[in-house]
Amino acid sequence: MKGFWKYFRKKLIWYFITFLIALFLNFLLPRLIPGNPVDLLLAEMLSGVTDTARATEIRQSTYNYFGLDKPLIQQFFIYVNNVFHGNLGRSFNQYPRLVSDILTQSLPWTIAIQLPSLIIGWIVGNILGAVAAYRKGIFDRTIFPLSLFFSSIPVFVLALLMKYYLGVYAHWFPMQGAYDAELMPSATFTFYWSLFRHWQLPFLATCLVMIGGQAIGMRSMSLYELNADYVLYAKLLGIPENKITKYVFKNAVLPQITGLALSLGTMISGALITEIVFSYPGIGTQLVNAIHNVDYTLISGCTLFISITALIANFTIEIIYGLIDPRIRAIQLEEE
Amino acid sequence: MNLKIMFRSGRFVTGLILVLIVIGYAIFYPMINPTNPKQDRIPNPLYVETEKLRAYLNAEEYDKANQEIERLSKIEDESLQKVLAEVKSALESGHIKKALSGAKQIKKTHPLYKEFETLRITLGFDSSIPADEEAARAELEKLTAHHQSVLAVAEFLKSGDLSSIEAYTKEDQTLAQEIQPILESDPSTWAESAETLVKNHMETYKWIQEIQKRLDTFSNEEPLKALAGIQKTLLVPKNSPPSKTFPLGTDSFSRNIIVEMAYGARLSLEIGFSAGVVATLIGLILGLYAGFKGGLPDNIITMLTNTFIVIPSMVIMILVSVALGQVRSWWVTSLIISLTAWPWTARAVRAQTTSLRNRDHVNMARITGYGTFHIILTEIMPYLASYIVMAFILQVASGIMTEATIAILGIGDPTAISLGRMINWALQYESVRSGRWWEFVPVALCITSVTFGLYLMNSGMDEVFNPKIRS
Repeated sequence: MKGFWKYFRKKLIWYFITFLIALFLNFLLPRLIPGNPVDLLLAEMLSGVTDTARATEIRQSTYNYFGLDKPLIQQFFIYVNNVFHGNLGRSFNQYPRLVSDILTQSLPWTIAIQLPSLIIGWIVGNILGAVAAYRKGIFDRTIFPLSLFFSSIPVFVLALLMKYYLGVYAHWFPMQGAYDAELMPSATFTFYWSLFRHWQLPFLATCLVMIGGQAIGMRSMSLYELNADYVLYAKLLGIPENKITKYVFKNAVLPQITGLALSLGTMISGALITEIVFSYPGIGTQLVNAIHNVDYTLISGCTLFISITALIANFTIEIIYGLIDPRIRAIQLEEE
Repeated sequence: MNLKIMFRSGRFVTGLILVLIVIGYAIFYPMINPTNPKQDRIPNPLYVETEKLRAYLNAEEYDKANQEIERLSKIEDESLQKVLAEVKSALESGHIKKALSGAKQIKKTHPLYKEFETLRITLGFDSSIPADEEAARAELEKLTAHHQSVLAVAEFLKSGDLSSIEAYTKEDQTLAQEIQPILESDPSTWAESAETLVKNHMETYKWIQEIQKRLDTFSNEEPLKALAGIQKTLLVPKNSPPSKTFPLGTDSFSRNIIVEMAYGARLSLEIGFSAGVVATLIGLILGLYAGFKGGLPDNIITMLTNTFIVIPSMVIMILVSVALGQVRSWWVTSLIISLTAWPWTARAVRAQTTSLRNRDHVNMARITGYGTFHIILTEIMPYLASYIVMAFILQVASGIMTEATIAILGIGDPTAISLGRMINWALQYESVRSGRWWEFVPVALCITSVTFGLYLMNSGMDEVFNPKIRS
């Protein structure tokens, strides 16, 4: 554990700075829009007002309300303060709903698709990749090109083709939404069954892409380890094949764990397009609707949320790595 | 780097062929099928206004319309010729809406309608011109009724039945005005005046009948019908399934998909390649500099790289695109993609350069007195070359996918046609739900063969240059 706390402190400070940069981007960029969003809102509010004095009053009070009459740097601190209190403002388009409410309502849907598909995809992908590397021959010749295909096909193309062929054409799956439109959310079997049916296609699409990518990664990592000198040496020593395989697998799977953690951290941005294709009510659908309706507070709420989850995931990975692997701590501390 | 050995890898060759097929299609298809003026009127659909985008013409109807213009141009009438010239140029430049309103004008300025006008004035009506054929027919019916009333009134004049006359004049004001002088004159001359009235009106009646006949033949003339019916037949139907004229059907804007997709593939490839070049260059320069120099520059660049890696590129892309608002063109999209894609290349190049920095041959060069630039170019780059090419290939693939993602999210240039934009349209216009597969399956295959081809090339090269991962 030598140097861990120093390592931890360094990482914490660095991630905090990155977090501030992300906050600043989220704060600044929407304010650069020609004709800022508040002016657009004002134009709507003032459309019926003819009295100039009254119009100026409304304008001033609105600017005051949104804090736009203050200098930019002060606005930034107000924004940061709000974010730390979980206040992301109200949606323009779904007024007066709170952006944080919209996000917390959409998040479960996104997680319901992403979490199982990433984990199952990771497990199946790694098994396939390992099998392809160890068994070679026909296994490698079928698994590898297929995995390469599924990892290179853009996820929206796969989702689109699955929606058409399995949903629209073959009628095997419902094609969009999270449950049948005529059903009301309730604790009945019919409702849960409908939920499950609608969940399958987006799950499959995300899972297949994950399987492809992981199988490719695991295959090349395993091959790399199998060709390493220590394997040859162990074979010469007469160590049983099973034992060698265990060591090789342990070494090969380590980078794959990073891959899983990273994709869990970026799962919200990874889910966007699949949700849009299947009109699944997660954060992706909210974001695309927000972009469509020029709903600035919701857009910047979504992007901030995506950044924060990614930062937390990355931070956690680095800390866990520092905890279990002293070499990483040493390198990091040496570098700086 | 020996280029020939790459061709020993079957995967690399297969991938290269896939990519080349799409590149060839994007470049050469518009040449082989050079925007056939009869099928589609778009020289370059990327930068023309929406109205022109709709103007894919049906070849047969286009010919018919031209024949009719030819025929009408023989009629000597100044205003008609003026409208005809307008319609002709509108058709040639693909402005269908303009041609449509022109075709309506032709009907109004046709000599027949002018004659109609003269007839009405002769009969004592106002000089209005009927708006179209239907109105003209209704007007003719009225004029015939007027003629009948005149005949009836003449009979009553002869018998001196004033009350019956009044019943007619109440309904027909023009008639009332016409017989007013007769009624005011001496009743003994009424019979004689009635004779003249009938005689005059029999002549104008012949005129009415003649116009009626011409109107009938006028509407029976096929070519004129074709011209008037442009809206229905001249425009290619929306969402039409694949046919002989349109091998991949048409989309929701009546666009010929096989041509549209060639332009879309071209733009996607342009964005992918330019973003790949810029991202690889930025990553290469920063990575080499940081890795070779070490110290403070290295720290700063590493920190920058890590920041960009940790903040999701999607977030930066969405925020920048939203902030840029209407300032949109393909190179802006390409720039945004490359500005978020370079960090991975920079990180890998830096790591490799750091490990090369203190090798003997590099120290040797340093002692010899070569400059930084020379050492990087001759002592370090050769070791990185294969990696850089592979990274570039992946950057292009991800650039194309990112562009599509941006388009599907609804940000980026909405007027440019790219493969992603075509998928966005297919989703927006419910092509998937309505089962109009030709609007997205070919596009999906096109984009997949590029990305799959590039990944195949990358993995083939990996196999050639990294003997350690050969199975």
